[in-house]
Amino acid sequence: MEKALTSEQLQWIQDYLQGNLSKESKESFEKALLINPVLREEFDIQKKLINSLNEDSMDWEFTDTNSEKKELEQIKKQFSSKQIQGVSQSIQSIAQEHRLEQSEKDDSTSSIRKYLWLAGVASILVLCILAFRWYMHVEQLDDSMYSNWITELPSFQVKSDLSDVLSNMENAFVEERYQEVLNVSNSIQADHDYYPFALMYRGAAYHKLDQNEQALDVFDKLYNLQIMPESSMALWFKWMVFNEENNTTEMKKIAEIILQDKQNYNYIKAKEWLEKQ
Amino acid sequence: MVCRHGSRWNVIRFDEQISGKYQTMNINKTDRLLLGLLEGDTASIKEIYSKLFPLVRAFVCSNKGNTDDAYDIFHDALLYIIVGSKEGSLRIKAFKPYLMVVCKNLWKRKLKSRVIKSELNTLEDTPTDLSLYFFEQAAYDFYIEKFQLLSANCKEVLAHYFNGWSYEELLKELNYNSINTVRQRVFKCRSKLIQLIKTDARYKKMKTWKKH
Repeated sequence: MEKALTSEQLQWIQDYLQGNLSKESKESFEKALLINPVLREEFDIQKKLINSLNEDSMDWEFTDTNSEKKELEQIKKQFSSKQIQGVSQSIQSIAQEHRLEQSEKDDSTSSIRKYLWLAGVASILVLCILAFRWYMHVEQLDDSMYSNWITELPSFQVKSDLSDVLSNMENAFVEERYQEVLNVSNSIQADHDYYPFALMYRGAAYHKLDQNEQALDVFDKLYNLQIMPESSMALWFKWMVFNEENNTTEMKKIAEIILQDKQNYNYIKAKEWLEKQ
Repeated sequence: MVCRHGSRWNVIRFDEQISGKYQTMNINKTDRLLLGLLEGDTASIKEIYSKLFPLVRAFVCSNKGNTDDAYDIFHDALLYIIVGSKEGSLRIKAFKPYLMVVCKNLWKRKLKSRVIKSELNTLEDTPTDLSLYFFEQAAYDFYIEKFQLLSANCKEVLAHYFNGWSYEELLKELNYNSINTVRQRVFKCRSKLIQLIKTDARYKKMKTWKKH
């Protein structure tokens, strides 16, 4: 009767397979494998179990089935048979068709990626131009000019050919069709690249419809996205809402938050306003 | 091979022996895609490609391969399942996971054979390669099958153990009282599994196969 493996020997196998043995222990394990058939058999089984059960294992054990020549020939005959070769050809045709469909899809995905990339570049350009314009004219601003939604919200006319939905939303806002703005902005999902812009317009539309609480909620949502510069723009938009409500206390609080970081949107405007108070 | 256009299933009949014979095979007869594959149903094979090929491509491409390799592996895996089912030795309970396992194993095998072949400068033809793989996959399936016979607790302990968890990790994650208890549990479960393996006639046969 075969002698069973001890708990220590089992640990030895596991440590060897996991590469946890020192050079000396590794060598003595390999020597033991040569002289101890029980250990060798258990080692083989454990290795196979690890290869079969460990999904991350990239090892594979080839088999030399000399003892199964008859069976091997029989299986080989099946794989080489005309019927299976025919099956193989049919599958290959379907694969070829699938490959063509995929490459067409990949081409169109690549176009969409290019399109989104261009849209992204265009929106950054728009923001930069607007920021530069505000920066250059900051000294000419008076209190009444702080709260112009049309100039504060990003424009999509530059890339109107890129995004009809956004430019339609912008047009609706300019033409004071605020309910339409809400409808369009609500149709833009949270995982969409333009979601932050949709939130900006949605908040502004609520404000124009005298629903300031909803407007502030939307800007909080935009702020909580924690993306720059859009989140810091949310602070300024909240400031604008409170400005129209003449709520100086909240305006001060927000202006102070904006002043915590020079990178925040309208940092100079907020500073200038606070200094005037 | 007969192409029947205009029929509801648009069947390309692979082989009279294949279609129909699955009734006596060890496979899940309610798996629509598997039955479609064995029947040679073009729509099913297309669906298999559109639903499952992306997963295989992702695996191959993240493991030193490319899309061409993924297509080759996928084709060979489908062929293996067809021949294996016809031969009657495959026990497929769920087609999708099984196809994924076969694709992964075929790719592991190919990666290793690339190294060996570049050393030995030998090339096998596809039928020979797939026939050899047939035996290797049978051994793989055999060990999985035996593992599945264990209790739920033993399967959990050993799955982690064979995935490289230490006794300390098993103690912490599986809420055992002491290292000694974990050690005993692993030993007991492993012994049970070894017993299940060694007492099966298929194991005695496999023992005669040389490994390299």
